[in-house]
Amino acid sequence: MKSIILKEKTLLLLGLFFLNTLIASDYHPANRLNTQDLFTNNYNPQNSWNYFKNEHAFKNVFLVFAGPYPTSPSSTFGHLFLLLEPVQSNDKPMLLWDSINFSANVQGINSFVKYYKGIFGGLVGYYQIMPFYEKLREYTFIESRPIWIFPLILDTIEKDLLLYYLYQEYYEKYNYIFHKTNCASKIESLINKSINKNITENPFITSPRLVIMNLNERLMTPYFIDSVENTLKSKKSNKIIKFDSEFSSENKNIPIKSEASILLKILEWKYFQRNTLLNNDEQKLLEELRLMASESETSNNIELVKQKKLFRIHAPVKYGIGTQSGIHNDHEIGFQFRLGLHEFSDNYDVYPKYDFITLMKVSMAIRKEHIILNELWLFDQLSLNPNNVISSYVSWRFGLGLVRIADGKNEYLSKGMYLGIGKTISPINEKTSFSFLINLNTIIEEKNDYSMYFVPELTTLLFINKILKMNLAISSSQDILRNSQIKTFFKTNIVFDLNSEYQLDFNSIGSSIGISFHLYLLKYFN
Amino acid sequence: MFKAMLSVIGLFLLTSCATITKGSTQLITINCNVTGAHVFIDGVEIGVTPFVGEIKKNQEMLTIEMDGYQNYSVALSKNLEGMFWGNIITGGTIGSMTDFSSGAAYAYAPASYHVELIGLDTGYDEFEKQLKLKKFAMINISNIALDLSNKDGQYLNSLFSLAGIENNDASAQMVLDNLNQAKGNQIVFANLMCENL
Repeated sequence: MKSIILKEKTLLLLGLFFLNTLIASDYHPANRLNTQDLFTNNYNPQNSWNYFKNEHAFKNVFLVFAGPYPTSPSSTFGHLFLLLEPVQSNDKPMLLWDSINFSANVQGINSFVKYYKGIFGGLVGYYQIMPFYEKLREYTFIESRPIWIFPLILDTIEKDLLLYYLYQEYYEKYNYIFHKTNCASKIESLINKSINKNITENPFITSPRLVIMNLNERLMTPYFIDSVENTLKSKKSNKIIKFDSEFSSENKNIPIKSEASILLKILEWKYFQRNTLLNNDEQKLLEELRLMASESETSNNIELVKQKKLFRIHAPVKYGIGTQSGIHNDHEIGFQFRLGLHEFSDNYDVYPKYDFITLMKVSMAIRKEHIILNELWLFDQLSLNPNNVISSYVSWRFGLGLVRIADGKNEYLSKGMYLGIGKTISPINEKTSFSFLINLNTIIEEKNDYSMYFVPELTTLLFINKILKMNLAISSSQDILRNSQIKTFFKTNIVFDLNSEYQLDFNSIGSSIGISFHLYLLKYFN
Repeated sequence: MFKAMLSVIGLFLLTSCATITKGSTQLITINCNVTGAHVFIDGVEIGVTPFVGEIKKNQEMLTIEMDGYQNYSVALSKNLEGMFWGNIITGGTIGSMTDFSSGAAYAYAPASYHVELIGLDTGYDEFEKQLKLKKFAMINISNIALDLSNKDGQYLNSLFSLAGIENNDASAQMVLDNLNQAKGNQIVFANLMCENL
């Protein structure tokens, strides 16, 4: 009886939880923001298609992918929008071309409601047309995300249809859902309608990566624009160091003319990352640099589009088989499955090198005709954010999961929450980093006893080349609730990319009680 | 023991959050195409433009009013830092990107916002043209300055296009003169670009 009541309560709660989704899913075009009024007030509705066509007619169209942005859930897997090269492109530089963007309106909505509605429905999604420079600034300057610009192959009729379908949808609003009705799905649907391709909508997830794969035959090799941050780093790291030490607004050194342009770019970028009002000295320094930069010829202007770059983005799912040896056991056959945005072992052509997000990871092994669980992560994020001379963020980790631990003669599953905070530096180049994290792991061990482990950890990540990377770590661990003995661990992880689909992953953990290791062959699930 | 554990976790989380939360107010500046326009936050007048001061991060509605102009309001977020500042700081126009019928607002520098009011007798097309030019000039002044050094570049060419002037040395010189006259200040430069057309 008790369980029936509980069940009913649970169902009621679940019903209430999803009620919002049902209510929110009915958006009628008549409610479309003020743009509707604008058009009906200022233009004859019968001519509005002609107006739209004249304003936005294009000769070429590009599919633009902005790199993943783990800070925002709606952009975690990247962002897609269209870029239209106008018919009269000689009169309109690329920065002013129309970008066709689909996004959610989150103004006036707090974080919790945004995430809730983003997952279950209720955010208002709509198209926007804005000049390309605004999108470029948003992604490459503010959010430090590179972008790839794929020429999209459409014939004349398909181009006309694309514009027409855009016109039809432009004045409507939609129920935006992070994983389903998002920038990628709406842009894909527009293109598919234009090329008369019937695609059954994926009921679960549509990501920018999937759309790019689906449209692969229509896409040419993309142009690449790196983030301002990366461009600055690669251009003049020595100048940046000099800038930090000599040209801050506090000391009044005035830079020489030839350095004005690069210092202007660095300074502006730094101030925007800080996001606080400039003081008078800072404002004056910027103004002075602008005048100096305008007078001296420079090669420091950031090129918009010049290079083409192969686009290689890994799948979110990876699985593998391997051999592992524990402290108490001989070789075992192990299996691994992982779903997530990106982890250290993945290739990093598109994803940030130092942001790792796992949504689920399972590792199992066969032992004496039984299958045992070695590792299970429900969520694990490690954001290292290297602190070099021009960027400084906190490194952190949050993980929920369980891990099999060998302790003396015993083995047990340690379940709990793993928190860490610290700093990362990249003093040599972006391919080498040193992190120091202080972890506090609250876990339940055997017999449901709580433990809290204090774990300072020093980690080095080495991205040796495109196919080989290495992670070396040393940590100590002490249960601070029981004041237990300190244990020291050495960890090594070496990953070798065999090709774009297969990897060899070697992992070892050594401590005073022994050493364990595993060697896995991993494959992406495309 | 459990309490001790919670305290340590609490302390740890507090330490983590301390790096993110920077207090309940933020110093901002609000400029406007009209000097002396009244600035309201949630219906309470806090000053006139150009406004420099601290506002609370949990406030919701910014309104700018001036006789002879349409009132302009924009919804802020409860979480200013995470949402409002996050959105507006991109340089994008707040609110609908295409609806400027009652004015527009955009960020041109960190925590610095410009509001463009539309006069009651101003035509929409004229207002939109000026807005686009002013916004581009204000936001991209540094890139324009860099392009000026080579008398060429995407930013300079875009400025010519928005201003409706020819792409030649005389136009580049005009832009350079405006930049020098403005002494590198983005607001003065943007205004000069509109005035000197």
